[in-house]
Amino acid sequence: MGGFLLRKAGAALIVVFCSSVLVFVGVRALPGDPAVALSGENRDPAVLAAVRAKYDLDKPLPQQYVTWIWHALHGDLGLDSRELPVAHTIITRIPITLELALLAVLLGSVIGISAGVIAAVRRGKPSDHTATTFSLVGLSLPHFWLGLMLIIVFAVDLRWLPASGYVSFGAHPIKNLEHMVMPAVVLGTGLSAVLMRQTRSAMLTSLGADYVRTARAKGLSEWSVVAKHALRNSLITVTTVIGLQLGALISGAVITETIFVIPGFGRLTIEAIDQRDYTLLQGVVLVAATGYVLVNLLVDVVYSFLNPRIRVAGGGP
Amino acid sequence: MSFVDTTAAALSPRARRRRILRRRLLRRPLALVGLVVATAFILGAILAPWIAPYSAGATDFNAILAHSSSKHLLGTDELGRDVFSRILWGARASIEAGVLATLLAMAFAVPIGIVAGYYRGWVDAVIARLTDVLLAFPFLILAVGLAAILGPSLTNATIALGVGAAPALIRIARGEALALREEDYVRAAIANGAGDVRILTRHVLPNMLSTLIVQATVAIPTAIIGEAVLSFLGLGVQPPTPSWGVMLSDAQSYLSQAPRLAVYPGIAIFLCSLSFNLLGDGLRDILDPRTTR
Repeated sequence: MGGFLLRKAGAALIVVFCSSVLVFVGVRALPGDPAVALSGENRDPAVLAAVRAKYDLDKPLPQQYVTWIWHALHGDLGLDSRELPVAHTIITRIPITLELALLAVLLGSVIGISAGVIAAVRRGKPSDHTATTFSLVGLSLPHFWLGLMLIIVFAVDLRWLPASGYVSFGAHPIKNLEHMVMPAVVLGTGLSAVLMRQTRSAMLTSLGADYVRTARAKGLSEWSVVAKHALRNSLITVTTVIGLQLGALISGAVITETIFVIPGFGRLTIEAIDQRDYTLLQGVVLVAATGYVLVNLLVDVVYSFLNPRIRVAGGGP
Repeated sequence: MSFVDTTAAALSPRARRRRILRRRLLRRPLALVGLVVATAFILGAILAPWIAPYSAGATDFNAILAHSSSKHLLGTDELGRDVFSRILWGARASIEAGVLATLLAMAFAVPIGIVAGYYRGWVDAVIARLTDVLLAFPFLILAVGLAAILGPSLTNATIALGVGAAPALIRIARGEALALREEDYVRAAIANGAGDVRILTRHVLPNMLSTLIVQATVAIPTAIIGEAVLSFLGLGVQPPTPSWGVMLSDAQSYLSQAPRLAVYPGIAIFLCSLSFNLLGDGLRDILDPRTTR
């Protein structure tokens, strides 16, 4: 298993390196002179020269990249256009998005996995059709629109929940949850639809497998067969799906945080673009890409622990 | 039953297969509904200049934020523009982005995926890492970046959506090529001395077509929703050109005054993507090669 994990870690490292080059080149490809943007649209040649020297913009690109990545490895992503450290801004925004994502994954998994199990166990029955239809609806629903509809119903009409804004959990746990309910539902429905489908098909495969037949033949209760044998093996597939959904979750956070005006990591991405803040944008995208790769590496680790074929044989899939 | 079999036997294999597929489609009412609704949306988009009651930008200042009436089927927006007409016109941007982004992704992903799966070895490893790099950039971040570099427009949003859809398609095409490569007819072709290009275009590609068609049908709704998201964020279609995302973005300021402005475009997006998803699900069952032969 060590070899498998080492290979996966090596691949992740290569991907992070390529992504960082892509981010760096991409930000350099943005139209306009970064020095002008960083100097607050001041076009005085002396000021521009000073800005270029300060941000290393007068150095050749490879040298700029090495300096940037060297500092990034030490936790320094540079200063944004307001002279604030980018790394600090990102660190203060990430917990907000993490809370949102965690609530969404929790909601999505509970609904998606249980609906998938029920649909598979009661295959062809009305509950299966209902669950399958709901997942199809969940996949076709534009989630940001669902957000607008929730605002109309629960904030404008019923006045039960706040339409926008954010209160930290530490400051006021109840208010925090009130602000987070609708965004979490918006972000969680898409995930639950995907998870329901994957769980259903994984469960159908497991329920038809020999070890389930053996478990039944041993006289185990149906509950034990479904929960202990079939579901446990299906969860291996489902874990991988959750990891792969992280990209969709980050994209979803961008739009959800925009609609509900939540000052998280997603909103920061849009702000960086709107303000043409190159250092900030570079940092945000690098963190997003690295985060995605790391989570998927973690998923591979979990997967290798859950899957006895990898755990015992030491071979990769 | 035997009567049907004898007529079917008299037909050429291709005609017989077509007949089987048609019968299978008719047996799946949901897929049929999906096909009809998706076709209606496509026709609505193409025929918008002729069937829309008003032009997309026509304003009626005597009917601002008006309710539904015989004159304005779904009412009017804050500038007195007919909502129903704008939804018809907006379908153009959505369908265009949905279809073109999918075609773009296919044109880019399928050859790469086939090469990776067919040749394996270091080519496969390099392509796998490049796909991982692309996957590491969440689609919206990628689209936001591209819109910032190239400027916001429908074309650039379509490119971003196509690039975003490519990694998944590369993996699917790779998996198919990997499996098809082991098929007897491909081995026979190799033994007969057929060149790689011939094997890939005559044997591998045609046999993964049904999988690709299903994937395309499922990729279209994702791209349609993606276009709406980008236009909503101001990174896609630019106002006053109508698009469902632009309409929703405008409606955001009138959520308490005229919530219906936010309801109709969303329903259009939902029905359009649902119809393609229903069709895709149906096609998956209908085209499944394990059951057609």
